[in-house]
Amino acid sequence: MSEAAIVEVEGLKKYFPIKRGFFTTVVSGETISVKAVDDISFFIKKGEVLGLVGESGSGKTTTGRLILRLADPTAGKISYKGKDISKLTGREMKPLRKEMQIVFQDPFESLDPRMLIKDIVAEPVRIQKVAKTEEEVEERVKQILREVELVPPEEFMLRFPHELSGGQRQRVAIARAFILDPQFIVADEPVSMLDVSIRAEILNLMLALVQRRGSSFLYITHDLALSRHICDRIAVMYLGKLVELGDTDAIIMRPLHPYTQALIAAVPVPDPSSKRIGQVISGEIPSPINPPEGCRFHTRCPYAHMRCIAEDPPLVEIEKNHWVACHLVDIPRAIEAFNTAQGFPTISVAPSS
Amino acid sequence: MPILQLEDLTTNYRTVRGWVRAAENVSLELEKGKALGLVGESGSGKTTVALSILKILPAGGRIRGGKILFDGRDIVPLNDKQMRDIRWKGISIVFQGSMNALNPVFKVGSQIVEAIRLHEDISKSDAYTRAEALLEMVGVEPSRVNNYPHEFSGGMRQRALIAMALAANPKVLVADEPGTALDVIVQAQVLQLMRSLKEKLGLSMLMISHDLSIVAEVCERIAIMYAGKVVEYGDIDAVFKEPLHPYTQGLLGAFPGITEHRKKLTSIPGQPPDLLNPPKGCRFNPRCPYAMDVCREKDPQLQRAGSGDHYVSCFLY
Repeated sequence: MSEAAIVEVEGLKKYFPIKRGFFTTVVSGETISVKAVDDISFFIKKGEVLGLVGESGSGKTTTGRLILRLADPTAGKISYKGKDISKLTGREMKPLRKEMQIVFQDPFESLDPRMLIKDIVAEPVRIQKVAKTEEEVEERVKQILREVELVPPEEFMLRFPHELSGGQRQRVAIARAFILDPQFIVADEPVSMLDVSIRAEILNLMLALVQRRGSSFLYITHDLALSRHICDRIAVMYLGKLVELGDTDAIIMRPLHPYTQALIAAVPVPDPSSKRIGQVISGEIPSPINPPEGCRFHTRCPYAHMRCIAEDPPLVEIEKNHWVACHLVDIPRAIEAFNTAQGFPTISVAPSS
Repeated sequence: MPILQLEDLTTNYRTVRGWVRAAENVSLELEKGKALGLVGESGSGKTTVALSILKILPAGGRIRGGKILFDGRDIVPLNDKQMRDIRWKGISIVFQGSMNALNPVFKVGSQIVEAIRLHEDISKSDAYTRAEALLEMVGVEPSRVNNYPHEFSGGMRQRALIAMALAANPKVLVADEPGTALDVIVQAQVLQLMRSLKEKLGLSMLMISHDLSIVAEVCERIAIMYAGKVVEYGDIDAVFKEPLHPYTQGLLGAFPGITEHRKKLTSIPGQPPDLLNPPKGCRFNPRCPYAMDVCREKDPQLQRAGSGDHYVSCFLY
């Protein structure tokens, strides 16, 4: 599976220790930590748009930061183009930063208010020293500003962030991320702070930039409805674990994990005639400091049984390119294995749509 | 007779650079026991309308014209003391940002009790019993009255705020962006609660949101606001089935359903105008794909269009 993968993650973990008093730590002899990301594995194919979906506290943002090495993993391996980058130092990472970039959520905070737009966008070029002269830097800035439709670029270059609207600021952040023609882009909720009428515009712009460069795109979001329309594949996270991963159509039309099903059922439908029937699961996401034993979703799962409380389900490929971590999907597989072993005719156990 | 009726409500904010025309000539009707959704982007004036109804505008905000009829009585000329009888008992509000609307240093129960005892002359212990009943009604364990807000999860805080708004049995509940900061599943739980409260208590609700789909789930009627004006208004099925105003059409295109087939997302080019100096004529004309000469000259009025209970302010119709 690593043939076409540009980024591959194996057993990735990130625990944030909780600071307590020195005495408490010594006496109890243990450190408590928030298990933000707990043993996840997946890969991102070259040129694909992968949506990483989850509620707040699911660990999706931490995953994005870990892949770019903006945070150090507690354990696990991150490979970029087949090379293990999980242990590289800051200096060793620097040449790779040309190829991996990020767009943050809040364009009101991710741009330095005291820098001109020109300098904000030019910063990666200057740091990486890819342009020889100042004219060349300026030329590249103009070109990318044109590409993100901040025209005329000459006018925008000499403005400060506070003079721009939210949508324009996010375009600046996008220009800064794409100016070095990265091959891998992480976007962490890039449109959630923007007004609805301009969200689609910004997303379409990012998609166009990604496609033009053939880059791979990790789109981190809580909005399943939007990801349905822009992602090739979707990965669903819950409490630091990957619970389901597959092609967008499979995830949306045939979700197998009860959590994915609940998420999809909870998305409000913009159609008054299809009043949702009240099937909303109860409860809220538990604390990642002390996550439930076994399957982490069992406290809210309508189908939980004994095995879910005792045993953490592994992520298994249930049909081609569709991975699920749930004991339930194991049952038809177990029946199938049993039937095959007994020489009974196999009944199709394809998940019903 | 509608329980709440706005007639040409105009609310502006005074700034050093002039009046910001946050809401102009807004006319709406809320029928008893029904829910009206007020939808718009940030800066469209939807929160201004809500704050005007309770007359709790921030400094500089002033109702410069129009009437707000609550139960047939205009509340615009009322003074602060008279308004106090209307707030909570008549009209109550659930504020935006459930995370910050509770006071962190008081127990949730005592905050609800405070609201009850301000409006009713009952003993502290009776008020606590009421607070417990209120919490139970919104789906929070009654014993949690003695918890502090930080011990509540986001969804529970939102529920507690709803309980508090219902403390004095209001006739009208104004909900400003309910559940917006919450996760989808919790948001769905809150919407379900609002729906059931509406039915159980016969509440009339004015629901303010930027999210069309949330309003579609709860409300019978909808008003779309853009740059301080109501551009489309009517029965929710009519508006969704046959959106008439180009802005409504654009908004609906920007809200893809999850069940719909994969499609390219559409958006409305440009951005909302500066309300210190709104564009001449129809305020949407700089972004409108169908703008005609008349749109740049004259201000369209809300008029009946399409079929049934459906009004639009656009020269195309």
